[in-house]
Amino acid sequence: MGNPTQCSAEELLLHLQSAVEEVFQTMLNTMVTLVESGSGEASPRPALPAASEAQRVQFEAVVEFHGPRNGAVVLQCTAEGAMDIARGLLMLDAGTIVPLSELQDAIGECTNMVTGSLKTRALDPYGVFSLGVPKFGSGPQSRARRTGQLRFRMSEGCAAIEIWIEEPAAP
Amino acid sequence: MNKVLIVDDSSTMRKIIMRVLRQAEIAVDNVIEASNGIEGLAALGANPDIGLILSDVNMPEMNGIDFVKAVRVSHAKEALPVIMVTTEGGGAMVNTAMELGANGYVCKPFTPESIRSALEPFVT
Repeated sequence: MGNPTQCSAEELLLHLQSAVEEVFQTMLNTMVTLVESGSGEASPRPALPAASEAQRVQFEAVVEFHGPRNGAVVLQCTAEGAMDIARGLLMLDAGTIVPLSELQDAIGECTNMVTGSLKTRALDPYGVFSLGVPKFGSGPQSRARRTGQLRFRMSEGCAAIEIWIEEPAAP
Repeated sequence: MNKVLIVDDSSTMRKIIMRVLRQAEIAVDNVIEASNGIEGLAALGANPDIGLILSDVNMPEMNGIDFVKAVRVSHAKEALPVIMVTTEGGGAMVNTAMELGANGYVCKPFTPESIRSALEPFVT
């Protein structure tokens, strides 16, 4: 039976998808193509749809949320996916090379906006939550488990967005 | 409009805001950037002709809430508008910022129109 004081994993995933679409359409002027979605921790962590080894995950940003339930949104992308996101946010022409430091910042800000949108849609109705600042390469909280994932394609690259929820502390 | 101060820990977001200010046809003579509240206060001290501040809420070192609180020690709400630009749409943090003296807020993701609407009362 679901907990009426919080969204189910399936509802969270739907809200996450809406948040991703909102951010990409509004801030990147880009439509994303959803490749796969899934809720629950049983499914293996997705390998991004990559054409070659060089396109595998190279960037990861994490934004944690804290409140009645703690968790995080994790954005992973290939180098080309990161380039797509940075070019979209900065409105740069296709083919423009964005420096590495700016790529990381762009991925962090994209994750920040998706998490904020998710918070407004799925968390705020159930209590007072706060967001952390983007972190890189640290992964989600140690007690968190993945409850949903979306994989999508952009113009040249790929990305995955996951939602992680922290297990309650043992009594 | 004299100078605009943009306070955000993301250089990407600072660039986006500058671009959107141009798209929204808001006349700005000069833009000063800061990556957190501490840098924002220093920039404000060094540039007394700043006429408008756009500030993020979640930032390291000093967040937007503490920044607004500090700005209001020396600058009245009517004299120096502060607009929060935040992912925390309608959340507790935004309410706190408004209570502490912010003049308005814009939620990320935003459009040039939403920026224009938020700034319209404060720009000529």
